[in-house]
Amino acid sequence: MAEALLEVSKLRAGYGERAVIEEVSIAVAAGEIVTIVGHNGAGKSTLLRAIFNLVPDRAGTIRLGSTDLFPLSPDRLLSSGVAYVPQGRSIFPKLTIAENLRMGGYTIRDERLLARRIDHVNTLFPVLPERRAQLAGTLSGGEQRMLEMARALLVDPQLVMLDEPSIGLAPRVVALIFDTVKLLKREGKAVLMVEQNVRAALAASDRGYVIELGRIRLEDAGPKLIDDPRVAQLYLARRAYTQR
Amino acid sequence: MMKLLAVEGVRKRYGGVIALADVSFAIEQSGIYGLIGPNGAGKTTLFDVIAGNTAADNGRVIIDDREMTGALPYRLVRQGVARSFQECRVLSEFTCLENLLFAAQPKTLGHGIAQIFTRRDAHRRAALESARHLLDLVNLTAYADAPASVLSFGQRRLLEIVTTFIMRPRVLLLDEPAAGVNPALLETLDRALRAMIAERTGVFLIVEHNMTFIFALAHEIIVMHQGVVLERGTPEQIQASPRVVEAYLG
Repeated sequence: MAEALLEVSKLRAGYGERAVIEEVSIAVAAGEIVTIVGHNGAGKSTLLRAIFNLVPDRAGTIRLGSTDLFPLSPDRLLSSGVAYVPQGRSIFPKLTIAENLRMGGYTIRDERLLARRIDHVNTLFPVLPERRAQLAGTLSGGEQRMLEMARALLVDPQLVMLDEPSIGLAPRVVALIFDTVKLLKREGKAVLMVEQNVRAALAASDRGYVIELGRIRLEDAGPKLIDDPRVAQLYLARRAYTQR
Repeated sequence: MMKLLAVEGVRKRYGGVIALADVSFAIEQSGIYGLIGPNGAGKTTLFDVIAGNTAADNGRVIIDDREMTGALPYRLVRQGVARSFQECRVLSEFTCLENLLFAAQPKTLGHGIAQIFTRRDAHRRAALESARHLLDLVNLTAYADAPASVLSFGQRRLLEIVTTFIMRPRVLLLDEPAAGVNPALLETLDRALRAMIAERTGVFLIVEHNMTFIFALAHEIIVMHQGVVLERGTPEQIQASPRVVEAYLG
């Protein structure tokens, strides 16, 4: 791996006394797609939320290049180059697509800069300008995810974090979403996503981590992990069982 | 053989989403059963149907050889069904003992809540004895008279689980009991569940994502995927099943 852009070290996070992730150390290089897979409840979403300072109790270090991200509030994180697309629909269904995009540029004071960025995003996602006056709630699930990713690009982030972008989508649309993730990479963004759609997500990733019960257990190149028997072993706790 | 718990052809749809496509299984042997499956497999919906929290669109639910399809939760409680939820639910301002005694109110009579604390009858003595025994099972005897709010998260979980057991249910549904419980308390939980099932004939059906925990504890595992039962077998059989691996890794 090239020099790390995002570097998370010994991160512990949870809610009250309930630690959800412990001793988590991960890195993402510039322009790299990194996916974290693991069971429901393993701590995937909490990890992203902790990086974005949305979890009450945290310890550890989080850096982006030379910037210490740990103490920054979510709005400061946005202006420091980190965008976060949470799980579930985060679009504004009663606003138009054009209005949704403008909301993504809410922190940008310079109207001309905002217009330039919206233009650029519209060229990347041609489906959006075609439907700019349409209410976002009328888009299909896959289109809504694309709108979220497009919106995240408006702050011109260095790192985009995606929480289960493929959840609830039909298999054909899932492929489209992972193509869009690769588009983010071509735009020079680093991508950190968590996924339960294990094989499809790893196939689209440069590297992957497997998280189990709040700890990172495995790390390797994405395509290598797809057929790594250790992943299945972790999912079905075979190692632990044979120890008994 | 008697069906302790059976579901037959259960379907449940929420709008355009099919949560349960067609679920059937029967449990005749007393014991601990794990219910696992990827996110969205339908596990919690199935619990809701069995416990009467939601009505199935089709199919039958059988408890103790009696058809209970569509019965309301209070009737199912009388029939011996108890459940816990993913979110921990204890009465934090009441003592641990009081938490258990609340749950031990006679479910077949219209008793007022206050009576359970004032009447010194046989029921109360039996309930007290049972409550103390259960607190002991989860190492909470020292906290019997302390408010549940002083307990750690894991201890509150343990209290909640023995609370569901005080009426000696025939069918106990536990939704992710191990979630967020630290390793030391997990051992206590494992031991307590084994002791509880040994005390009576019944079915503990446990949804769990901590595979180490459930594979070590359960007699048998039922795997759900996309609203149907994908596989059923011993933990060893399930761990060796390519179909189960496929379901998880997609």
